[in-house]
Amino acid sequence: MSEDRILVAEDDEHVNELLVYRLETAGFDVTAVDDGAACLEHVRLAEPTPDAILLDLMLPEYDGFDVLRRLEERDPDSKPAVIVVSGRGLEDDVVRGFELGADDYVTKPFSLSEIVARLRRALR
Amino acid sequence: MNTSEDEQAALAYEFRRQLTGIQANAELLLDEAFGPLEPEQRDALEEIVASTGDVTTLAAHAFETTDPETVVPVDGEPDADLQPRPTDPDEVGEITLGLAGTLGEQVAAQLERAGYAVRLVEPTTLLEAERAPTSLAIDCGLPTADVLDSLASLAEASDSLSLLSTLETDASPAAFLGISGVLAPTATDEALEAALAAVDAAIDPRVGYVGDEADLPERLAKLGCEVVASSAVDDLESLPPDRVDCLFLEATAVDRLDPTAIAAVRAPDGGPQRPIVVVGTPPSSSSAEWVPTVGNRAFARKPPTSVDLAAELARALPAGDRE
Repeated sequence: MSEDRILVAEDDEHVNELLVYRLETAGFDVTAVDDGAACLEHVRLAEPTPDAILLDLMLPEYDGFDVLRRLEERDPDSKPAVIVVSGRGLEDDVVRGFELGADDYVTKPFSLSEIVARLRRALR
Repeated sequence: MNTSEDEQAALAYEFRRQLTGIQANAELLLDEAFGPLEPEQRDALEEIVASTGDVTTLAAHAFETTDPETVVPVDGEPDADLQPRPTDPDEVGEITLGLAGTLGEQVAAQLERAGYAVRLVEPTTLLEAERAPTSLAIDCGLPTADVLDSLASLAEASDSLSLLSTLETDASPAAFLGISGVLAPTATDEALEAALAAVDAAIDPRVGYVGDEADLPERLAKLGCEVVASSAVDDLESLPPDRVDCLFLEATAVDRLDPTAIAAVRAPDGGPQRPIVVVGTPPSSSSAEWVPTVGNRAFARKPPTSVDLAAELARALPAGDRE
């Protein structure tokens, strides 16, 4: 059973709960936050740091793009894998997400099983 | 990125956000996270997931593409300006729009985007109202005899009335019928001529008449019309579209008509829509024998888009293209 640590950064309470539930069922160790500042703070302070982040783009405090920029400043060895999970489906948003360092980009609505599969691939 | 694209992106985002909860919860249920499922429950959930995917695709096409060819057929470019706009919205009071469902919401949105104040109501509610608002557009379906009475009253009381009938056909989501007006069966020749003028009938017009009144077809013929008359509504289906310029339908026949048949005669492929005069009993409050629809009566585009419809309705407003 996986012990990978996943940080869910999603401000929609219901989506947040769904992701946490599904990921815990899949065996991940899950922490959830609901804004960009809390996401960055958790990455900075948590020991050990999360292995991966599921990152919504439309977050309060710092939006997902800001979070991506700040994560890129970290030491690559300690930088979590980032999967953007967003309702912004325009090509420009997807390209920008990858340019800012996202490892994957999933548009909503997403399949929970697909999220799990993409996480496992990102964590390999 | 301009404001219109921002609005589309925001709308797309909201669609995706709401669909996420639906799909994710359906998947959890399918995974039996909350308990085992009966086969019927599983089927229903799989259908929910499939439909969510379809709606996602539709939303992506509608809000996230700049290629007009990919816009879904029920609606046109959401951010297209209404053209033409002959009536200044400030000169017009609130438009009361009696159109149901998604189409009503889309048309209302288009009119509001163009600066008009719009009130969206259920068509049946409007027909039961004692006082008719001005600037009215209403979807009356294929009007029954009871509806015609109400329509005649509304036509008299409204400054601008556009009557629509939306029909479901196999070929398109809705084919629009424009009702030119209501004609009393006992109408004088003067009223008959007014009705023919209202439908822009050419010299020696060809009239398709469906109903049981023997007198009216004869009088139309005496006025120079080439009349193809039938009391059997089924005959309408065999009527070649190029044989009539307009249709006179008695209220009782309307009640029996197959909507697809009338749609086929009303709007033959590639051709203009034939106007319709409904022959019915005038309202007790009116002594008029011919109660015309003021404003637009026909919509020639197929399949119709909310942009087209809103533009046509805007043209029908007072100080616009008023008959």
